[in-house]
Amino acid sequence: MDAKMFSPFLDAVFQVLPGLGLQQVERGGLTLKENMQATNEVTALVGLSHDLQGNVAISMSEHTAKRIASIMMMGKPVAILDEMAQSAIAELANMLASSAVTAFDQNGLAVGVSPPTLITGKNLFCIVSQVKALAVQIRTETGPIEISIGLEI
Amino acid sequence: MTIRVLVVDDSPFIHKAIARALPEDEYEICGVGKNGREGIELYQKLAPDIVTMDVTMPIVDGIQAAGEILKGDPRACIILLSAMGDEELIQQAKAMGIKTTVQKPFKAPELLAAINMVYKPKPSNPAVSPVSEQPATYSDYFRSALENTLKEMADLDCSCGRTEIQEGILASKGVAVILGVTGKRSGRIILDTSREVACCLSEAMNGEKYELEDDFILYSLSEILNILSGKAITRINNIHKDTNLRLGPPSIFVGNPLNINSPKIKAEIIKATTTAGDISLNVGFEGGDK
Repeated sequence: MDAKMFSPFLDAVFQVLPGLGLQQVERGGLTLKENMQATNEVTALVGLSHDLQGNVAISMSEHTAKRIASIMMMGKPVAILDEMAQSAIAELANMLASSAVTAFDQNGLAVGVSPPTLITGKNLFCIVSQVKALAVQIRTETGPIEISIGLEI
Repeated sequence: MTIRVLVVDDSPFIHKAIARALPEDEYEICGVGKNGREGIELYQKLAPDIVTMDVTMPIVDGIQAAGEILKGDPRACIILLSAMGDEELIQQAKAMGIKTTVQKPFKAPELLAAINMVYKPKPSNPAVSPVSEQPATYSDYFRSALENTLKEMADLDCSCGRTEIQEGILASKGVAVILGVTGKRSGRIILDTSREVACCLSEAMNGEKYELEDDFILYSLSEILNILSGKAITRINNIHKDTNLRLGPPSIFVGNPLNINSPKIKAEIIKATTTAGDISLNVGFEGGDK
């Protein structure tokens, strides 16, 4: 497992989130897991293929998702996580992965990003990757966000 | 565009079995030859897309007839249907240019899988092709991949209903495996079912009993999606050159409730009934899947 492969994703977090208007973006714990399990209420998922195979998931509470969606929609209040708000969170996963992929591209790796999917529900249990994965906790003023990166490398 | 099939076989039972195996909306039996000689004559007259050829027939046998047809048209797509499955015959057939051999008795998915494997449609000229021609959608490839994967991996027969359009958010039955597709067209494929059905599928695949709580059943479901998607995109890539689709690894989601939303996607749902229970395959590509 090459730590270098993860850094474009971390860089993307600190580029994209503040760019959207989040004021406070700090890195918390970083854990390497045997397989990736996310259990939050809202998860946005994108798949990676071609030179790099894997999945990237962004997971958060519904409360955080509503606050981020509101920031992304120019401060418009978000009372329920409706389809519009959901598509904002899905887009966030897409932006993070696409930003990382641009960095890979500059290093000669061609990586494709699949369209984002948003998973919501209760009593959730997810196995985002069946290989070793890195989970990064990000603290923001909207609440904690977990970014999970599972790469088959 | 229907695929025209010439059946050469001396058994009326096989004529019927082939007609039943090939979906009417995709295939047309354009002729039936009862021996090798009739087969050769009909091939020249009808120029079919595919020939199914029996081996043991009166007057001229299937190997001779296939040889004659291939002499005149080396690109003829001939599938040998043989009661004998010996390696020597299969090798001889292959060496002659026969595309593949299917052993009798065959089940419909086996014949379809063989056709899918060997038949490449002739490139059609858009200027002359009739307006009514409906190109296969990506979901058609996934539908047949679902059918033959369940057959191969779990020996399950499945019948798929009419493909429906997915509107809005998908409410999962409890377990969903999601897999991303990238390439010229990007999309995502979701296999959705209940935990109970996932358990039955696992048992059919592995021949063992599982507890509902066992995560192994989730990995079995994930493997089914992985394999069937691999088959479908291989075929799509072969038929639609430059498409270059690739798969990401599957992710598994379990929840109650569990809702799935792919905002950029136009998706189609293939609902399949199997003896292990109902499953649905949701195939979505950006901008639809034509």
